[in-house]
Amino acid sequence: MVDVIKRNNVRVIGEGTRTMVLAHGFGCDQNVWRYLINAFKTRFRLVLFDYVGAGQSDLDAYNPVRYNSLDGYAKDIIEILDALNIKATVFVGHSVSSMIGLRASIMRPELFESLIFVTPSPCYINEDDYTGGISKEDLEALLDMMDSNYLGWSGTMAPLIMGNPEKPELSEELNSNFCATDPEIAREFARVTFLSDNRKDLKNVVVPSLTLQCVEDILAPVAVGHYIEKNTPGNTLYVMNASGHCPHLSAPEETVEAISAYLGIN
Amino acid sequence: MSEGDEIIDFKQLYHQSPCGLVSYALKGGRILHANKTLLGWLDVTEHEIRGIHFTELLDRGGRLYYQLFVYPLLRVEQEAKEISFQIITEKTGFACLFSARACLHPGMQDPIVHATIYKVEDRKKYEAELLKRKTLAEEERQKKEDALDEVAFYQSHLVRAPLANILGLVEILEHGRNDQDIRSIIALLKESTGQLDNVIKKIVNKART
Repeated sequence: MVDVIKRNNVRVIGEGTRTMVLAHGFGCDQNVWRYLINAFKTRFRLVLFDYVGAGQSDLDAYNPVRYNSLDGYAKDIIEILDALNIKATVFVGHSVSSMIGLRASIMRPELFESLIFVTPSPCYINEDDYTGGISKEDLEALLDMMDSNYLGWSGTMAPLIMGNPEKPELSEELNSNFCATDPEIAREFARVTFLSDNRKDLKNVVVPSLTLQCVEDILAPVAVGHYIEKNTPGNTLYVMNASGHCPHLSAPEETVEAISAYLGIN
Repeated sequence: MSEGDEIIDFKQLYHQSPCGLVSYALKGGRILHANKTLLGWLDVTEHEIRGIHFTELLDRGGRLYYQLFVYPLLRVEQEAKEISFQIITEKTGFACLFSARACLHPGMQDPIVHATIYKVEDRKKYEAELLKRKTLAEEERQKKEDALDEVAFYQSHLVRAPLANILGLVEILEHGRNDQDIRSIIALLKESTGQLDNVIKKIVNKART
């Protein structure tokens, strides 16, 4: 039996009768949710985790076949929810996690009360009359950038990232490298993320959903938000005043307000 | 005031530093200040650079990378270190190392980013060379592994087939009844040994390449 709690470095915090899962996007780990945690921890039971390959997840659990598509990550979410015996949760996914949550909700709709997509994209790459925002050349340029920037990760860092409970002094070092990931895994995750195309899945969603899109987001332009709203049953689009790809970091108040309004809490 | 403060002219230090210095708003990225070293490298005036968004100085890959990794680091950790970027403007282009800190200033709601920019043209070439060697070495290793797999396949399957034939034919030969039977079995044996010889030649050739 796989220990999914350890595998995905799952943490459950906060109090409330409702549950909210916070799923980080490509690039970093659960540390990106710090502002939302403060805002929601008194009203929700919050579930935080790191995808395999990110943060303090178990790097040994990385399986290139399982994680060759977003479904491998979607199955991880289902396994986490099953392990915690959670039914009908609010799911907040940033960026690629939006589509991971969407895939999980199609596989097991009863596990989800609602889906909140933060700067989502069902398809990042431009195609014919569809505007995804980036081109294949952009993706290659990004992968080159990742190759020349390991962000503090090196072979000597690997044992640290894999977790070293007997040496708590290492945790400080780890925190300052929350974007550090095994470069090979990061490269594969980038490929799976940016080449994914979930446009055909949108119509199969049965759980109500909210899309938060920002202005001037080069990874997921507003046009993508309109596309999702038009093609997803039960989706509501909210275009934020915030700019960029990470409104939960750049405009946490507006993000919290938009989510609270949608969930009917004050 | 210490003795050093009298000797050092901080304004001069800022402008004449051997690295580029730039300050911009974390939110939105609008540039507020740049030192003369950076302005010289970019071949622009102080007036021209103000109002430009910092990421506009980067190439497309750099802009995506900034949004995915650097921005979250500056938000969560208030610091990003040794990021390799390519600066691209209409007038110039160069490789640089970027380090930055996000600082809250009194009276301002959102942090200001103070960044250093080091030109690293030569080091970049050296890095590219190392990366190329690493990729080549990995390709070479993969090629060897593939060749070994193929050899193993030949040995286990292709060698076994003619060898099994030969063993069977020898068995029959032992109980051979007449000359005609023996002659036809010898002909079949020749065929199988020929096949075996070919397979072995292929393995030897494979091992040489």
